[in-house]
Amino acid sequence: MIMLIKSVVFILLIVNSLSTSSEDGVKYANKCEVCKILAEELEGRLLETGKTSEYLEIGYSIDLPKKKKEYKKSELRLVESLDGLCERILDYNIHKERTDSTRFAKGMSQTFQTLHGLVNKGVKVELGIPYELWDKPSVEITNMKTQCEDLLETYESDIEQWYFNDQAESLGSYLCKDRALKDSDQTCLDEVSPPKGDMGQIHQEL
Amino acid sequence: MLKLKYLILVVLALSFSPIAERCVAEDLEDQEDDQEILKTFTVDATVEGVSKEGAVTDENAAYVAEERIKLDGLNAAQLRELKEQAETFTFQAEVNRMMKLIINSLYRNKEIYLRELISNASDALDKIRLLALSNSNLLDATNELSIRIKVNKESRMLHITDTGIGMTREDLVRNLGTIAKSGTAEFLSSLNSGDGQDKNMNDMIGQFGVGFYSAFLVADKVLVTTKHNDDKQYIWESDANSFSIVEDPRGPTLKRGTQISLQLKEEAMDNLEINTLKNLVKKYSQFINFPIYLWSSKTETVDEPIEEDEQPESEEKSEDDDAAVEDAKEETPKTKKVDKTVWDWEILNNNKPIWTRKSDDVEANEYSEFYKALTKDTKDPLTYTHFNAEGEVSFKSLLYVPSAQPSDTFNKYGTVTDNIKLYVRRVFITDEFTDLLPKYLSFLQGIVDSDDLPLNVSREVLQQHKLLKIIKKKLIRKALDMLKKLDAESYKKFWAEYSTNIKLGIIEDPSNRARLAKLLRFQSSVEETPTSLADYVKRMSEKQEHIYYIAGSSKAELERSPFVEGIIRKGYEVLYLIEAVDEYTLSAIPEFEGKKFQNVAKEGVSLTENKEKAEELKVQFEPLTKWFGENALKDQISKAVVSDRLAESPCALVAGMFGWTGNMERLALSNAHQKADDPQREFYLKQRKSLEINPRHPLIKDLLRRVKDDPEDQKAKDIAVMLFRTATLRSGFMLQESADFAESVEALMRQSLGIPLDEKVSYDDEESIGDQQAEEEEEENKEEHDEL
Repeated sequence: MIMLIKSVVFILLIVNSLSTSSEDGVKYANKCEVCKILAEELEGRLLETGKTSEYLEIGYSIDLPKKKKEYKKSELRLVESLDGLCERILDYNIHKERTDSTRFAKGMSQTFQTLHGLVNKGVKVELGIPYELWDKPSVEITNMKTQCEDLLETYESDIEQWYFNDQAESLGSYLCKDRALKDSDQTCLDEVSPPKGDMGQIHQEL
Repeated sequence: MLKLKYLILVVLALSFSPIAERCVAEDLEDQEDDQEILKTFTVDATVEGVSKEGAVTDENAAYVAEERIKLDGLNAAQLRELKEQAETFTFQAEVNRMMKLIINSLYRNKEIYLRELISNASDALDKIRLLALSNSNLLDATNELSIRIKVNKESRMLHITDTGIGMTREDLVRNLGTIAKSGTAEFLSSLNSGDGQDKNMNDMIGQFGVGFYSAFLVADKVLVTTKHNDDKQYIWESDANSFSIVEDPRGPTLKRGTQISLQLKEEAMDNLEINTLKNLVKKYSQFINFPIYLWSSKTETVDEPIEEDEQPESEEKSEDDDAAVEDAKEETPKTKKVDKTVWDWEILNNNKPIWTRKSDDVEANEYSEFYKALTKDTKDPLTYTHFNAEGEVSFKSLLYVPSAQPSDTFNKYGTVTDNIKLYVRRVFITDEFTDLLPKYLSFLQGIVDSDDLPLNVSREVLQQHKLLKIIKKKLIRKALDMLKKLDAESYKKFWAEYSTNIKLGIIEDPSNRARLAKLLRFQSSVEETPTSLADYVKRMSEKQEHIYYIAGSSKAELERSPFVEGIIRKGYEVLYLIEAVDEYTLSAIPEFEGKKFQNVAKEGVSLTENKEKAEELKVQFEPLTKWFGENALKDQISKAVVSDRLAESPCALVAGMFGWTGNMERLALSNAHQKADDPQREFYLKQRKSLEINPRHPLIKDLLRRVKDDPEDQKAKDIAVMLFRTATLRSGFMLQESADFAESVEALMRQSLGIPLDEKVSYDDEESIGDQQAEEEEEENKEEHDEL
């Protein structure tokens, strides 16, 4: 019992935020952003798992020919690709220097890069949270992970349908545009991440 | 190579019955020593009167020899040889003790001996079948896999013969005479901790692999003839006092396997009756996956040629010959109808596994009986599901929810293996998988049988097999489906037993979170019985946006919490979370049926519909809220705000949206397993809460008046601190400066009793200083304010 509480405490700790109170400054991902990132991540996962050309051998009998299944087209590949998919969102960081869906991006935000840079130079930076917690996922990120899991559970059969039959269409369009976001805001789907090295308005953020 | 040999040895050690299961590998190296110890033991153990070493000598010898005659085909010369060669051993002291325990506690339930012996036979058959998958030569001696029961009424003998893996001489000494230490210790300690009821004992002996000894419940003498592929055939013999082992002069008559021969006691003669045996097998062993045959007679009407002599009785047939005597249709046309007793092997069990049958064809009580046979549980299961999964991996499965789970389940959480038996093509592979089900579902019992998994790989390799992921996913879905379909009454029982599992599932298994959320039940402010979230949402009024909940240690405490006052007054429902895990669980669920959750002990509760009035109050009380935040309680709170959720209480301490509530702080602080210096925990614990004040409360109104007059009013400041502390307590937080709090309450008590604040404690006097009033602190508190 104690062990489990411990692990639970850990989960909650992740649900951490820069802003210690009130909604100020917390802008959760909207459904469009979640769907967009989920679709990108899943397609990415499938690219990784789709490289192999191995065959699954099913059955054991020595006399009977084994059932063979191309891994690329297998249910297993989908299961393995979906497994822990939303965990990947924890690799994202919120880049507060941007406002649209591209504020969710992998890697350390430029804001934090700068802050860490300052700390390394010996500058005392006070953010209101312990230094150890700086790099923990922010509440927006953990919330988005949760939303991702919800979306996945809700649209699982659609994703299966797409995987087995409709992969010609992009998942972003099949899942987000035509289904999950059918009656809601879809603008984020067209937003493109700015090129790297955009050092823009860090100071503004600070 | 060496390793392989070692492995084989281990497997052999496991061969006979679960007795050996705890006989760990390292014991093998000490084998020689063990024998020595065993012999030395003899000296000590024989002190109790009867000389056990001498048990096979002199006049006993003749008797023993006579008994052995009953094993077919031993002639006098061989008997003499046996007598000379037999090596006698004494049972390990623990074995003696345990046999006594078994015999004394199970004497009213003797019949289980057959179940235990058949179950051992079945295990031995499972083992050879599994080994034969990678080496089919192992079945060369005989490829039959069966259990045969035969009685001999004249000699009062009952024989149970299997063609399982058999035992080597080493196995015999070890399995039937000593018990692996851990097994014994565990068995005996369970006996001591439990009340030793024969029912418990009945459940336990099988689990601890000591079932073999139950043979002595019905037998004076037990002979075990056994043949292992790697050794000669031996005869083990015992009268429960000592045992002897000798090489069987008949040679490998069994081909492979073990024959248990019981010399039945006078009072157990009933077990020689065919019908008794049939009933016992049906009662206890009908789900054994190997055919169980009984040598029995039936009357058949046969066409006999008139003039010919009768055929010899089929009793003399060899055991291997299964065919009934059917000499029908002779060419002679002259025949007559004759009633004839035919002896043959009759199959007793439908050894077609229950899960391979169509669920429509299986009766509910068969499922229940199978469950009991599978788990050794004596109660019916709470529910079960039987399904075929199709797709990339096809498998059949039967899952059961036991009616209770052990009370120490959560101490072992995550460390126990699944209770799922895995079969591949009806061949039992293992029940020691750890990842066929997630931790929170490890209470499920049952079997999985797949045609699509490889058979001829080790369990470790199979454990890694990718296809198990698909099986796991489907098992979870089916299990949750089964739970969802439970009727209200059964679900209540389920929830009482397994609520924590489901709540943990929500935290651990995000991919089934919404499915699990539907299974949740919580206490509520409107319903007597725990309610589901779906029902809560149905009862929500149109204006209500959130699902409200509050967590604490009891319903009574929560009903009086300042946080729920306004919400209940408003007619909204509040869920009361009273288990430790509840608040974690709900914070893992973002929403349910589109409704977001709101912890009412946190910021963000807004009940007022009249925004103007709210704004007005905010402005009106601004001097007070500012004074609290910037002056009186500067170091204690993050800010003070006008609340619209408080009804009766003057104020409450509210956790930030991402902060910890009082309940969470309590849980985090009382968590014994934690890092001493955890910056995250420190950070959360140090977070200041905001103080919400009730603008309608007279105390607050009066304080506003005073502060407007003089912000430095010392009395107002003292009261502010007092208010903060009572709010801390009422809001479920722990008070850090409890001594200060007690002192200030005591000061108030002095005031209300008219005792001067500076009157000293008189040490030499026995008079106490009014601690009897301690309980009235709340009351005192209020009265004092009124006086102010």
